[in-house]
Amino acid sequence: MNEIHLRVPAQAEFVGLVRSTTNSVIARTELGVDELEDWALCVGEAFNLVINHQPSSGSVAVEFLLQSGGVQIEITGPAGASLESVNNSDIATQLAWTLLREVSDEVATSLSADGAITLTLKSRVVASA
Amino acid sequence: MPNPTNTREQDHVLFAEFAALADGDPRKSVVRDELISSHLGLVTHIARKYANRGEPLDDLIQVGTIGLIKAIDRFSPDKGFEFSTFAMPTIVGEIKRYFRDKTWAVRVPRRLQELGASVSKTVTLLSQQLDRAPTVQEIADHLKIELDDVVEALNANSAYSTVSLDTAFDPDAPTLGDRFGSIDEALEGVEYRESLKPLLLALPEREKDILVMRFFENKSQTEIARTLGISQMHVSRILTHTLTNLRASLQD
Repeated sequence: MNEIHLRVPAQAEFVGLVRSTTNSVIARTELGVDELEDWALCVGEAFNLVINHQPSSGSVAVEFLLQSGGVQIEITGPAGASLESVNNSDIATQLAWTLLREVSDEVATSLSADGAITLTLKSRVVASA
Repeated sequence: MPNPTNTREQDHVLFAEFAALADGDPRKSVVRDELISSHLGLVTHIARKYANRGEPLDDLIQVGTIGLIKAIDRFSPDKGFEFSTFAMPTIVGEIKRYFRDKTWAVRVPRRLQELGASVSKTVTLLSQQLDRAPTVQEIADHLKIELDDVVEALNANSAYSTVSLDTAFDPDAPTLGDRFGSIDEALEGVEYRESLKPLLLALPEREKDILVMRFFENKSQTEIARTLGISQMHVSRILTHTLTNLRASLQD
């Protein structure tokens, strides 16, 4: 089993659950223990970004795909958003993007037809895998 | 084998010079560093006595060194005491204060506290052996426990209160920023980080330095831990604490 799916309400108080799940998932990769908390924080920030526009309705899906010793994580927010909501210039958003860019090897943003934002984060590939 | 009499005499000469130098004199910090280096053995000796209580020895030595610096600054060679006699209560006091301040933020069962300490020691050991951070599976294999137990212990470790991270350090002591002068320069130049500068500059030195090293200089937690002589898990706690507080303050 190399896929793990989590769906939680799009509310800020669920960020702790998302972080601790991320911890457990990263523990099953070949990433070092010092990257565990980095990833938990990073996914927590991504969660905050995708609920930024509608913090109290809908749900957030977090999909973990374990591959090549590393991980790909997709965080999809509720429908009805626009890309501007994850790209504005306020300090909290800038801080979140700083973490996402520094921790992930690759970050991609996409918007579905119904306006659900997906942030895709990829870890580095672990050489030994 | 050093001659104790000579060491004592050298100490006396250094302390006399230290006391005579004006505060702004650049020679003063040189003499201070010499005094710190020559008494680090005392700090290590004391720290070892507290090493089996769940905190990494390196962290205790670092905290004890703060006590040593305080003692050096306060010591008067004219009063006729041996420096070690004078310094010991200050070093012990600093280490005890560190333990007192590092209470658990939430109730964590003793089994998990002990497991957390074992995991912490194993991370340090394996990092040295492998020359990289171990994976969670490697920690589990080393301790002959389940992977989920390691995760549970790591989560428990992060429940440690970090309230005193800054207060445990002497505001008069050299800050990490003093030691790593390039920290502020690391904030320069990249446009998207510009808006974060005021936020970062408002942080306490220690938190700012570690955050900048991790997220602006792209150093791993293990590299930061090595640079600062503290454990990786301590770096992890500081980062989590700092970012959690930053986010909370941004939402206020």
